[in-house]
Amino acid sequence: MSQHLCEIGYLSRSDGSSLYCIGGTVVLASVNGPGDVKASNRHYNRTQLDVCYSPSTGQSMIGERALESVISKTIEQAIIVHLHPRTAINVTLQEMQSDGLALSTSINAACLALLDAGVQMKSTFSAVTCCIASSGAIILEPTEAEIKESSAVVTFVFDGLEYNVLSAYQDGSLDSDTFNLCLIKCQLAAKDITAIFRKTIEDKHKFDKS
Amino acid sequence: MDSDITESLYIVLPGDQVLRFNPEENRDRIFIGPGLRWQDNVVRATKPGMLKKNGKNLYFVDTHQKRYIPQKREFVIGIVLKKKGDNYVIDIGGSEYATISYLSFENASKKTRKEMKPGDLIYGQLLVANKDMEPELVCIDVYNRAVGMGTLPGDGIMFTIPLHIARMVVDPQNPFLLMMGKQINYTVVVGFNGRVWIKARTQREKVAIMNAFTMLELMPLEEAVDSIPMFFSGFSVHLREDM
Amino acid sequence: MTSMEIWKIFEPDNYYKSFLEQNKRPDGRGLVDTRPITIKVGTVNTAEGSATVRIGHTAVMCGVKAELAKPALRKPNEGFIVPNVELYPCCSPKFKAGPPGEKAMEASQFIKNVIISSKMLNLEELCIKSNKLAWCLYCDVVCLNYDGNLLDAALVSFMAALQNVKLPEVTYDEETERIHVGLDRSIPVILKAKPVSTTFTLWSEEIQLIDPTAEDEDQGSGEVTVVLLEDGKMCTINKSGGQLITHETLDLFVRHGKEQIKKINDCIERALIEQMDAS
Repeated sequence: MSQHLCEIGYLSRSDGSSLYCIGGTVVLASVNGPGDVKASNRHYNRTQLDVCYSPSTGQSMIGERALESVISKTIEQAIIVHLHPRTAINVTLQEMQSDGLALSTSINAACLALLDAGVQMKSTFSAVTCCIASSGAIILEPTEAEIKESSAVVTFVFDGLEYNVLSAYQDGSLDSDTFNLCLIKCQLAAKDITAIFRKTIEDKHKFDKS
Repeated sequence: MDSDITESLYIVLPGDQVLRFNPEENRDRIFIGPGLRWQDNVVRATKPGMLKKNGKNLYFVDTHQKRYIPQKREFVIGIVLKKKGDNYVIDIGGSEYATISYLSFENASKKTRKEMKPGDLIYGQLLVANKDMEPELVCIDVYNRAVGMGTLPGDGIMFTIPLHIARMVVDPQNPFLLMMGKQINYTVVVGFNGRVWIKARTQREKVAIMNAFTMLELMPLEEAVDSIPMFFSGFSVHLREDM
Repeated sequence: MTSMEIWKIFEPDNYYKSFLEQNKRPDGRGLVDTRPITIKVGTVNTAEGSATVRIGHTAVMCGVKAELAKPALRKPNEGFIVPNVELYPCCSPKFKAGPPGEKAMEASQFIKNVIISSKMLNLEELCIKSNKLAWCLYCDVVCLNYDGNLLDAALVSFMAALQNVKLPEVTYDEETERIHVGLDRSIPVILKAKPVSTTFTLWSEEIQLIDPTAEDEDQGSGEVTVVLLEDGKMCTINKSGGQLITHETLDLFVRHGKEQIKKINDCIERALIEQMDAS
């Protein structure tokens, strides 16, 4: 596994924020809400979730919008949306440095920022990316160069309870046995990420009397 | 066990199992407070934070968050935005604006109505706060007394602090505000929505008090309280000179 | 109005649930039955290749328009393929006019992913003259009637239309820089893989519905799309959010997906032969 580094409360004005870094990919996430929502997006029974992702270079194109859609559908399943009707939760993700792991880093950053903001969730979630090298070996959390050489890239998002699959996103073809092998490897890595989340939150509450 | 004592158990993340509770099997009742939910006979956390329990079997999660979610009976500081019919629209930092009727003030009547300008600050209590309704404030208790509520004078200053700090300093057991009172003369109003209004004699004193509040975010309470005398040492000299 | 219709309006969840308890869906299908699929190719005369696909009430049309373009500087030996999915308000009241919505973008991106992941096209074959001239295939998928399972329908129509493409012969004279386009369209696009997608709607941990209708999608909590190649290899899996699924469920999806491969590809094959016979 690459090195994971994170920091919460990075931005002072937003309700929750985090900086998450896996290897050479760094994403800054900011969460605002539950807050005001414009009338067209207002739902009588649930929170509207808006996710905005911007890449480190260039403009947000169709690829980034697709990424946004994957991220927002993942988050929507994790947060309890019916607790605050007629409100919106804004998740803004800014990639600061890019090394191929934009999706998994963004999702992990979003999870930490939501934890920092105290948004009510069913469980935490963590994302892991792996790729199949041309030799057939599975590389966890590859670099951009390794992804370019690989035959397939798979990203899984697991929940923090039973580590079941919340989202899966695959590029390139692979047979189902390899896929299952990837899933198991990523599942193990996801447990480590949840441990990182726990440590970060414990750190935030270090002044609480226990 | 003394029911007033709240014990801190451990840190939870959303989804963590707190305890199993089946109302048909378990005789003793438990209460679940904010940050917890009961589903399939399991109580799970929904917010990250310190799990706490008091003597009456009330479990809750103490979260550190900045966004205020209105709760009934809580005292908050609001900003008057505009007048709307018989009501004022007040920003209390939640997702929706709150309203207050011009009659919800002490000694207010149709003839002696309370006049407020946009930008005025008011300290009130939430009468209505639930997810499906607009929050409503009042500045009187059930006996029509103000008990400290009402508009705040214009010569103070308001700033925001995280919600858990606000909850912490209003605790009567908490020595923080009293300790500061020993050093300088000041007036303080703390709203549960994380807004603090202070009044002191000079601008410098106000800034010093604001900084003292920020101290709470960065160090444990004991350390913050201990450093207050040093923090205000410059001011106490002035106090004596004035006298 | 019949009592059933009233029930459906007032208690849509219970109405729907009562069907699932009997292992049926409101349209009479079982949980793992797909809807009938009809494919017609060559439906748009002005396009280089086209196909119309119906899956139950979902109707999707794909047209491939070929244009000559200059290759990109970075990849001078490659042509282009540009998939685009449009969801106009005429296919369902769910969609609004204006710039493409989230669902349309997701579908476009999905097809793009499939093209890249399956390596179905060698883009170098679309190049006529390195650094000078190449084909650019615009594949526009338009939904005519939306009743769920857009991704499957879009991919089938896209694959059928692509196999229907006939390009004219083009010669490029390097000295005079003149382009000569032949009159008859005869050159097909060679496909290296024929991916087939299968979509499931997740309703609960135990119940998943294959080939969902719009109603199934509304009632369910999310879709999983599994794309497989002819040999059963996994090409793309698309699960964004939705109910949690276990390892075993994923395996089950792949097994169902494998059954679909031959069925769909045969269907496209038959449609192509039919069209050839007719012309």
